[in-house]
Amino acid sequence: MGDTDPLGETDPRRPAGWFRRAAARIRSALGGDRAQRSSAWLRRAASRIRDALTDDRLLVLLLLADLVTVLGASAIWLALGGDATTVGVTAGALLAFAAAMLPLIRRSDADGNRPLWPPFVLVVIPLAVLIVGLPALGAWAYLDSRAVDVKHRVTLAPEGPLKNGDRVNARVRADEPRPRLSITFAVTEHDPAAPVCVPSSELTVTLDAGSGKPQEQTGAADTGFTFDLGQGLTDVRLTIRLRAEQGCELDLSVASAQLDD
Amino acid sequence: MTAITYSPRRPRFRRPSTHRSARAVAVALLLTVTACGEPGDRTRLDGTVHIGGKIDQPGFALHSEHTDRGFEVDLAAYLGEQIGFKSKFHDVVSAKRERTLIEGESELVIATYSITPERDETVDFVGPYFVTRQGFLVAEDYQGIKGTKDVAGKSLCTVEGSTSENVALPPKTTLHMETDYSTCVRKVQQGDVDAVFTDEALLYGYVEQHKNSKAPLKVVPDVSYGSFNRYGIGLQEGWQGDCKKLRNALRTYLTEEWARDVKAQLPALVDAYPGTWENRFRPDPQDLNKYSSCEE
Repeated sequence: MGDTDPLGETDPRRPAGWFRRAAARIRSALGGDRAQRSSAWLRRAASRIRDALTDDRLLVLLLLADLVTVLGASAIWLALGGDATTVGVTAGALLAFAAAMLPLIRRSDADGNRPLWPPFVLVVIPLAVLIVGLPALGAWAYLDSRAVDVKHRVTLAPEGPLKNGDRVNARVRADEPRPRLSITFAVTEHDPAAPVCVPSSELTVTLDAGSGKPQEQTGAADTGFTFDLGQGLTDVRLTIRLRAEQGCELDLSVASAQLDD
Repeated sequence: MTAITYSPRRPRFRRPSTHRSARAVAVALLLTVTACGEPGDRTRLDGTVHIGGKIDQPGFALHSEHTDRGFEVDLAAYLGEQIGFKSKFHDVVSAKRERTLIEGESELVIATYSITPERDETVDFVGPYFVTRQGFLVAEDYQGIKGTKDVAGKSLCTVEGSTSENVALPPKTTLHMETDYSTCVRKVQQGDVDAVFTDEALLYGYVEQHKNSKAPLKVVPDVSYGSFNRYGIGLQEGWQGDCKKLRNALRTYLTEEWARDVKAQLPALVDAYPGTWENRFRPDPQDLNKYSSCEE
């Protein structure tokens, strides 16, 4: 590498010994040949970019691409619930770093050689953002499309055996609001020695929506009920009314509850 | 069915001769189990089928003068005709109905046998073939119970092992337990207890039986405690083929023969609810899928 440093190819004013030693250690750790091949490949790529950037219009386009990529990724990150400060600082740092490359790109050494790495950095920034951002976006989309199991977040009150006409209030607290709730209740005999009651029993489940018309559904004890929640509802409240034959005492619990799209 | 797990490829110890023997034994056992077939493919409902029933329940099953008669006897005869077996009743008390099936003493139990989750854990059910509330049988001139509140503080009699045994009754009510209903009925007639408490349909059999006696009886109208009982046919667990045969035959019975047999065997019940007795006591044939233990 001669007297090169990470930013200028041949700058005798900068101490290059530490860099050479560090690079040698990395080469040694990675396996000398492979590191050398990688280094040569990077240098060739950086050279091509440097040679292509003789035209200022291309440099402007590259800066524009950096700007669009960084700001676009930041906007998506923010829209998906990213912390505004973290997003702002990250985007600002990347853009400031790209801006800091400009004077270095313009500078030439005594032999008229332009620096190798600064133009390369302008390409690496949007690529890095895309390489990190796209898989992250894909992972988020996958996780977001999955149903959220909220079975253990459903509270029923009051507890205890239910008779015909009794009502139970169910509350579902959701950290990740979704537009649809699918819930199935388990109804079991309170006294297994008593005559069987479950097959003849029915539940009427009402979604107590904050605004709009309450949704009401009736079905057998093992029916799956599905309600449209709208957007952003994190505190879902249901009223369950039991219809059972005379003398029946039944226990109510939640068999499954999912929030999904 | 017993599952045999055998892993001949990776023996823990290398003992060739023993290992070969073990493999042979395992294969033989596996073949034996396979040869037995699935329980659902076999049947216990051919030839003479021993049915655990009651012998002292007029209207449902009464053994008298070497003859069994009653609604359940008619039902068993119908099922026998449809499926191809000859029914033979023998007495089984309420508390031993599960045991007689589990031990194989009876192929079926048809004995005013209410379907409950607890019983369903140990035996299979096909049914219901009768639905009834639980009511009170009193002497015809008895006026002590006219509404549900009047039950408090009364002396009642029922049978151990029946579902009525577990019903929550009002405070200060005394429940006497007997092994059969005939004893309870006798106690009512003698004035030892105020009422017999059990399934209403069953009580109407005693009303009919004693209507011409010196101590006639009546069922208290519109007074009921506990939940509805649904009578099912009990059979040993695991006989899915027999379960389905019985269910299919019972479905036809409910629509074609049930009403005629009730009229013939339980006239007091028909008289008590003119025009509505079928709606009150006849199960919906579609309920057979809900309540029977036969797996689809």
